[in-house]
Amino acid sequence: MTDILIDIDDISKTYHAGGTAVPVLQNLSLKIARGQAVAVMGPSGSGKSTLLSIIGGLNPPTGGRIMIDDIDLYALSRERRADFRREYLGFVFQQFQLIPYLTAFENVLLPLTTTRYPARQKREMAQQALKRVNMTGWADRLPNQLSGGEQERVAIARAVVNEPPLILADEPTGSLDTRTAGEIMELFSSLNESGLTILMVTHNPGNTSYMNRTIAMQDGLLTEDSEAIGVLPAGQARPLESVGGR
Amino acid sequence: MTLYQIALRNLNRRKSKMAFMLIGLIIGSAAVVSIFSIISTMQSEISEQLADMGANIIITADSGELSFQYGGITIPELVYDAATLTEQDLESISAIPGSVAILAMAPRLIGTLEHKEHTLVIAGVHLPSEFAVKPWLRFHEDSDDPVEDVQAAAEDEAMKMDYQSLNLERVSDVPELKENEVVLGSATAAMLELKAEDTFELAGKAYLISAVLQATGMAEDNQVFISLAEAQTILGRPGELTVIELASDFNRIAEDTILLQLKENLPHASVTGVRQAVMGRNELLLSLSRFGFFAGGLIFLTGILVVMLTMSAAVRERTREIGIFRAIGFRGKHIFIIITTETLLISAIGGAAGYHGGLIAARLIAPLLTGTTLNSPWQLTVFITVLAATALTGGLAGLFPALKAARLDPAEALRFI
Repeated sequence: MTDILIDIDDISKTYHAGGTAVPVLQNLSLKIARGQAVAVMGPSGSGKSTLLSIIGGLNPPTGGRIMIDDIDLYALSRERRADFRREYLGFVFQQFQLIPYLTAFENVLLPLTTTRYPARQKREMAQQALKRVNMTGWADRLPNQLSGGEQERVAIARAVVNEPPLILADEPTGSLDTRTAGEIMELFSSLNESGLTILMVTHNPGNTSYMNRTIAMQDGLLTEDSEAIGVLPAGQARPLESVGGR
Repeated sequence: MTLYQIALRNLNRRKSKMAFMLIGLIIGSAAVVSIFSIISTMQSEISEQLADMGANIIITADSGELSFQYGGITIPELVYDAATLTEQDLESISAIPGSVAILAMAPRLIGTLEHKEHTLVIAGVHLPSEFAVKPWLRFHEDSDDPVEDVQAAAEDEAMKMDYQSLNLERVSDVPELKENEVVLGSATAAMLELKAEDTFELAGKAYLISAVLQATGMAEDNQVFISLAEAQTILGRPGELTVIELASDFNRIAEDTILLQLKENLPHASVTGVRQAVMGRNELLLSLSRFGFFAGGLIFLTGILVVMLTMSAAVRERTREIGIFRAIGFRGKHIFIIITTETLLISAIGGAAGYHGGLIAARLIAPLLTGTTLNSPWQLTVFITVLAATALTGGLAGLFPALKAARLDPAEALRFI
């Protein structure tokens, strides 16, 4: 087993709109070590979310290769990638994205639905995940009965319930007030301290203080890296000085 | 939490939209069930009538167009009071080569007589022969024990003569009417307030009522049965007959052969095969049945479209949700199972409710269409068939939306987030 959890090698992504090729990611290479908490910053359209979806196995790149835990992600079939996501990844989406007709507990239980764990163990795992985000008292509530911060906590519990090594978060504090956002970032920080690798797309420069590495993107290129660990081609990225969000 | 529970929760959330689909399926399956209930009940009624008939050939004078009800079946071309048949014709019938297949021959003269303020229908008959060709005729017997009455009725029912193999033993106990004896139909007896052993005056002559018939719900209830010779005398029509009914064994000689021979020997008479008359009506029913299949097909096609459109719309609305499911590790087949489970559940509920709705509708509508009360019983096999057919139809209709959902590109689905 290597210390590098994510190894992105020269990936590109081009969308086609009305016969016009729109490059979103250009020859991007990046290595993320196991246990790192990485903030990805950059203006809208810089390719942050595309990068996240590619790492999440949801969006095949046009070129290049991604290895996660030494597994070539896009060498897997579509359905095997679904299995991979279930075992290796936890997603935290913008706007929480809880299933509205399921309770907080059932939302957390959801990623375990298609696993082979015994039902009792699944329930214990879901209860444990809720406990981890201090939401055990809200287990029976529907999402619309929870505040934004509470929904975010449930979404995080859902992401960690199957104990994946990697959490991918897309603007997790985007719709929260400053105080609640701070609490959520504290939560991410504690998850990272427990050994989880976190990759978070954010516009909020304040969130970077909770992360131990920040990279910046612009026009599909990796422009800055707070912790160049010697994996980026010379001249492609420089140590982070100022990363501007929107 | 299982995929089934997720489907169930989603159905519960989308009550109004699912109710729309459910109502469509209920109406569709109820319409099909009611159409086929009515048709099948009518067909079984005809079969029962055929099985109950003793007489299978009716010979009448070849004049007139009045219709005649025989055992609940309409036989055309029998005219009351237009007797041109004679007893000579009985000999002509016996003379045909196929006469060996004629098991019973019931000649009858029908006329009317005034009795006080009533006009009575007089039927001159050979009573044993009459009972042979009309298996539903029974003497009314007074009993103090209602249980015995029920048992006797049940035994009678069990003894009903079969159309294909006539049981003439039943009539061995039926006596020939004497010159001064009559048998009254149940309605006539009730109208005249008479019972067995009473005396009764007709055309200035006293008659002993030897028996009263059980109610049949048919023409016999309103008749006065008297010996053929006596009827010819009091009606002033010696030697004449109105109708001759034959009970024949078509297993021995084919129906068409006997009918042809009778027509050759009785050129002045109209010879009608009852079964042919019934089958003519059955043909109409078969046409109705074909129409039912066509209408049922159209209704089911509409049902398929309703399911397909509703489920496609539901899948479109749930793109984001499906994207989330896929992102957290659901395979395409898991999405397919969720959508298909929802469709199958709704379809099965629609089928179950539609079956019962269809039965009720058939019972309400049938009297308006056919003039008779239909008794379509609840049948497990039919219920399961309807349930399976509706689930299959719904399942097939939901197949396309379910596959579409399963194949949804997660990245595309998550663009909605």
